[in-house]
Amino acid sequence: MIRFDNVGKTYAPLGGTRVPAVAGMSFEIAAGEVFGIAGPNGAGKSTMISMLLGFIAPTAGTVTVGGQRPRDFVEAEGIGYLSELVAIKPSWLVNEAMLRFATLAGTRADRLQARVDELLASFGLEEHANKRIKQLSKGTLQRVALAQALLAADVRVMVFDEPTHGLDPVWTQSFRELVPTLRRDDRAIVIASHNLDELGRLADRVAIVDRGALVRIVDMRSGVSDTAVTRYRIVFRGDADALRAVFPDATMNGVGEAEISVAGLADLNRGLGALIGRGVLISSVAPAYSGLEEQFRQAVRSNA
Amino acid sequence: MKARLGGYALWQLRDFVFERAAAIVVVNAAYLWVGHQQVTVANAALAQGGEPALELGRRLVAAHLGSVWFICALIAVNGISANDRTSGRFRLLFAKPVNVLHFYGQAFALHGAAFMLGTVAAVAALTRMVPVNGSTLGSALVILLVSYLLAGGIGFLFSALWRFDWLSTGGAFGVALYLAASFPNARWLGALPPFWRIFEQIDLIKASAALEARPLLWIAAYGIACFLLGLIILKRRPLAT
Repeated sequence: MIRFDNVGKTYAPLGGTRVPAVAGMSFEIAAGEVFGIAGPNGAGKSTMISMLLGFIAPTAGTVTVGGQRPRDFVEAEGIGYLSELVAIKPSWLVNEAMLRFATLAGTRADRLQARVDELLASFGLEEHANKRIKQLSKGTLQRVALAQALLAADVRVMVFDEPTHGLDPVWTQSFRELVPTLRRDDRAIVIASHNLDELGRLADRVAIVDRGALVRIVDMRSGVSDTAVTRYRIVFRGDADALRAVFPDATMNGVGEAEISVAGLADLNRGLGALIGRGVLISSVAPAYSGLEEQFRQAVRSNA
Repeated sequence: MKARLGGYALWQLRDFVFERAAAIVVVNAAYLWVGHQQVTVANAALAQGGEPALELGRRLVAAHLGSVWFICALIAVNGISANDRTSGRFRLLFAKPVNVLHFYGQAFALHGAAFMLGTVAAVAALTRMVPVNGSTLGSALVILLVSYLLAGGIGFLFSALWRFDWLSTGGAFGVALYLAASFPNARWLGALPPFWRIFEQIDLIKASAALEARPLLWIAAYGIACFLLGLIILKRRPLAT
């Protein structure tokens, strides 16, 4: 559905320094997939999304959406899009803004208000319908932006850029529950977020980008990596020297608690067996970081 | 699903009314007030009726047009596409199935219609103060139309290029008038935006002469060419800046 083929983007302001934002980026996102994009600030996430929507053109390579140039696709079908910067005219009323977006999304005139009411209700915005955009809190504005992204029910591509930014825990959870309901066999969903825990829960695959490069794509469906070096937190009762003998790079967090590094599940279980063999009692073993978080740390470190 | 751009026209018109119409009304009202003062001074001509009164009418219409056409056209198109880009509003608008060229082309046409409505209403108000004959009214209508095409088209082009469109359009206006006055016979004047030609046509109203078709066509063609060039630039330029 979405294809980045050796894509590069260099900003060249008039009389300014050329700034490479993205380089040599290639990946595909299939229909039916929820695809995450993670990366530190300035990694190139926003540039990738701008190219995906056809707001800017790549300076190298090609981006296609549904086999077309992004702008052609958007103008033909539209994309359900929540931008990181929610820019809606401050003087518009919430209901008015939604009616405008619904009109542009192609909602039939006789269905306009009903569709808007439906979404306002879904996002708890009824009481704000007659408020001006400038009167809304950050979280409420974010809900308006989310609601407008869902106006067209039949879009084949959805893009959420920092979707839970500013949302309280209740609405963050609602968004997490919403995404699985948006899945369709013919729809690709892209979520860019700083929140790795969120991406870990929602996405099938997550692209980790850093300094404009695609460092790796983590497949969340395959569970814990069999080979990646992962840190675990282990709580035990027994001799700490025995622990160090089995896991030489173990770091003690206190009495009876340590962090260990292992190269995959097999390595972990071998080490635990050896530890038990030395008379150490283990009461808990858990990843020190989520699988994605660990991969993210490694990817960003390796790209430094 | 396609955007219902026709349905969105009402919103675009509403934006014009809330954001620009007041300024156009104020400008026209200010010059109507000036016109009203002149009528008071020239009461004798009015009392006389006939040709002297009609001549006063022609002079007032010409003076009003000369004062308002450029500033009202500038108000009508200022930031027509640049405002959405610089504010970031394009992101949510153009993620919908909207053709950018149709969107701004429609806005240009609607703003033109609203400009015509506002300025023609002011000329109509003038006819309540002084007698104005049909041919003067017809000429005023034509001049307002080509004025919008020229100043609006150039403003649209600059707005497609960058954010300082009102400044650029005002600058082009000043430079073109200065050069036309300083080098009236220079051949290269033909390449400049023919703002001074509009004033020449307005002078014909004062003289009770018919408007000249060739300069009017040139003015209109120049403005339309700028508008089309603006569309081409919008098609090719990135929306994100």
